[in-house]
Amino acid sequence: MALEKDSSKSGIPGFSFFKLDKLFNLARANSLWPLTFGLHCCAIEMMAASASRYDLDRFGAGVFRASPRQADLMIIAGTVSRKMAPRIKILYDQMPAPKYVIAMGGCAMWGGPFQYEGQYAILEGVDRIIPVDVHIPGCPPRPEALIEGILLLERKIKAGVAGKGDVVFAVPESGTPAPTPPGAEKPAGPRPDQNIQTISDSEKPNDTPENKS
Amino acid sequence: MNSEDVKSGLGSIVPPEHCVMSEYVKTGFHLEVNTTFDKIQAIAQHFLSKEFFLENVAGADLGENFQVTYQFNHFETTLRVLIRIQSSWNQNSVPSISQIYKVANWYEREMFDMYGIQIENHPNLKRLLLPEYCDFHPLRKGFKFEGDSVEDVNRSWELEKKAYTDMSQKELSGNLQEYFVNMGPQHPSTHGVLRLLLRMDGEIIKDLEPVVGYAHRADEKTAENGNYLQWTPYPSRVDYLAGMIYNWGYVGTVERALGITNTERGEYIRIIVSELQRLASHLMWYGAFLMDLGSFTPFLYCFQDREEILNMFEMADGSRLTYNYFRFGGLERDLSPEFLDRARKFLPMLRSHLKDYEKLVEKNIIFQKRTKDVGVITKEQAISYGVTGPPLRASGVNYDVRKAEPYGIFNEFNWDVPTATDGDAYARFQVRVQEMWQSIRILEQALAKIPEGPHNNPEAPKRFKPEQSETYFCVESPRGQMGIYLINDGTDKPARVKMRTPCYSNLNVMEEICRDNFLADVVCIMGSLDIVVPDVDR
Repeated sequence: MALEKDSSKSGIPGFSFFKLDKLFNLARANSLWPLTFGLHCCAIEMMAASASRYDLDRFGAGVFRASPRQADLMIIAGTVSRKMAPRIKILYDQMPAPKYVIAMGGCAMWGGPFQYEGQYAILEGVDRIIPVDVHIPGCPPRPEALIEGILLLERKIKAGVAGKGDVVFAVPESGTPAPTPPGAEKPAGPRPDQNIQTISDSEKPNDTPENKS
Repeated sequence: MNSEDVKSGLGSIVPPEHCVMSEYVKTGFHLEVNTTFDKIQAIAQHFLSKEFFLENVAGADLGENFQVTYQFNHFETTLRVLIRIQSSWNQNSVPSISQIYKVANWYEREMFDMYGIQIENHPNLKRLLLPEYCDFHPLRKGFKFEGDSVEDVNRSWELEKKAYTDMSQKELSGNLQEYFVNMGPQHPSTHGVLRLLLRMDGEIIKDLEPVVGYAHRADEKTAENGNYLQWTPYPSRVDYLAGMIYNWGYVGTVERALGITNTERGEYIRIIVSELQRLASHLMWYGAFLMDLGSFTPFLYCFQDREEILNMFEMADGSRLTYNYFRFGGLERDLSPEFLDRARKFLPMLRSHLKDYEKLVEKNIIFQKRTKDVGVITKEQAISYGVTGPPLRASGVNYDVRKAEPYGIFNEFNWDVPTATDGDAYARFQVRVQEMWQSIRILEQALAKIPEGPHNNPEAPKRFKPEQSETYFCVESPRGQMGIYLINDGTDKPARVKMRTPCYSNLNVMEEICRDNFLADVVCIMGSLDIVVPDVDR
């Protein structure tokens, strides 16, 4: 185990247990415990993803926990209403770190079909209150798309870049496009102020700078 | 009983010249009554004595005036009476009928929330769907929302905390065993984001208050922003487990307002997809209900069958869950022969699977002990709360919209309405299972007889301006009567769309049937009522 004068990863001043971090991240990525937390239609597809045909357990993310204290992945499955938004913030705060967030579906990303000028009831994009790791477009996304998003999150965790709010878009091949809402002016997709990154091949676990050193 | 009898029965309250016979085929109402607010309590009392139930209450903003419409209907003889009351905004005061019809409590709170209509003598007048801190009434014409979300969220949390503590500090009696339990909005068995505030005495529920609005996303306001065709994708997102049927509910309303007819093949396709949707919804409920009661296997079994139905819907519409398949005068596209073959192969398979599930669940002694004599709904409660669908039929009332006022071509098929008499959770379970068998019967007949021809009416208009009218159309969703009350003002946009959703009434009755039950039974009762929360909140 090498010691390094870098406090950015472990948080311990002066030392970095980067190999241990990598090991932990590998374990974290392969046993995600999502929070049982359905908001709207997407929750049904989330259930379908964990049920018999799609079997999310194959990817180690099938242990849905009802308590935020036991979960490390929050899947925002549906529209975030203004009444619900503080609750989501509290649930997120109650989850132990490290914690990851997937925004599933158009509504959680940017308001989806319910976004129009003067929309009073919903929060247009959950990333306004909590940091989101992976965005999955669709209305609702297919279970395959959710699995794709979880695999992408696993890659992010292994690369050590997850849980910081850097946005990645999971675009499945057969995503259902969201219908255009009446009066919507903003296009579906990221807002200009969003910090968007994608995982390039250079950021794959084996090519990280720590590994080379 | 017919509308003449109702008219003469109302004679002592409303002068006969204010009661107008309505053209049912065009409006969906049998009798329309124009009156004033001081008479509404007497009218409600009269209808309650005649065993009418309160179907819907809708507010509407007409500019200088506002309008409140009350709809009464009867379970045995379908007779829809519309009470229309208009008043100027200067005299903004409506007498409460929540002492007469319990469900009016929520309808009145919603009117207060959405329009700022003041209710006199309401027992608990506060916002229903929007957060407590809001200072606007969104469905008023000319309302424009201006607010910053993040600041709102912070402010909202402070106010929510206050409301939460206020609620749990309601006067408790001297009994030291009495306390409050807050269930939800994040709870695995509330089927979404529903919050129940329970006052407990030890393990026994003394009082229950559902707190809704966590899934409110302004469907009705969205309808007013676009033209008629633009709202077709939205109803299937209100109750996402019954998307096809909600599609039909909206499209049927506009067809009734405009007098658009459908082709024969189109009617058959509608029956096929809506009954398949009912099967998919009941299968989902079957799995989720049993999972609430602690058995996981049926969930996995039922999802397998449900996936097959979703595959078929994907062939028809391209979407797995939230469909946009119905169009005015027909459907978006035709069903392929492969779809019909697949459906014909699927039904015998489902028949054998349903028998397996029956063996697995229905005779199970633990299941019976959990569900029998739990959450009994009586007929009086059903009338007072407007309960419809399987919970109503489990209480011995034979009311199914498909039989009572057949839409489409449901009356051409040979099928029965299953009922039970106990009214408990087990009876509701049995009724739903029997409904699945009846849906299979309808599907088999429809698949055998489906004719060739065009799937939609080529003369049906795409963009139109219906003349000023008020229309109501309802369908039988897997959870009960779903109807849409539509006000056209002569423009190409709907002036008001009010959805009468079944879960709204069915959730309301919980405060009555959960009382003096155990806390663990709340989960069982809610599962047996099959609540979909966005259907309540819209």
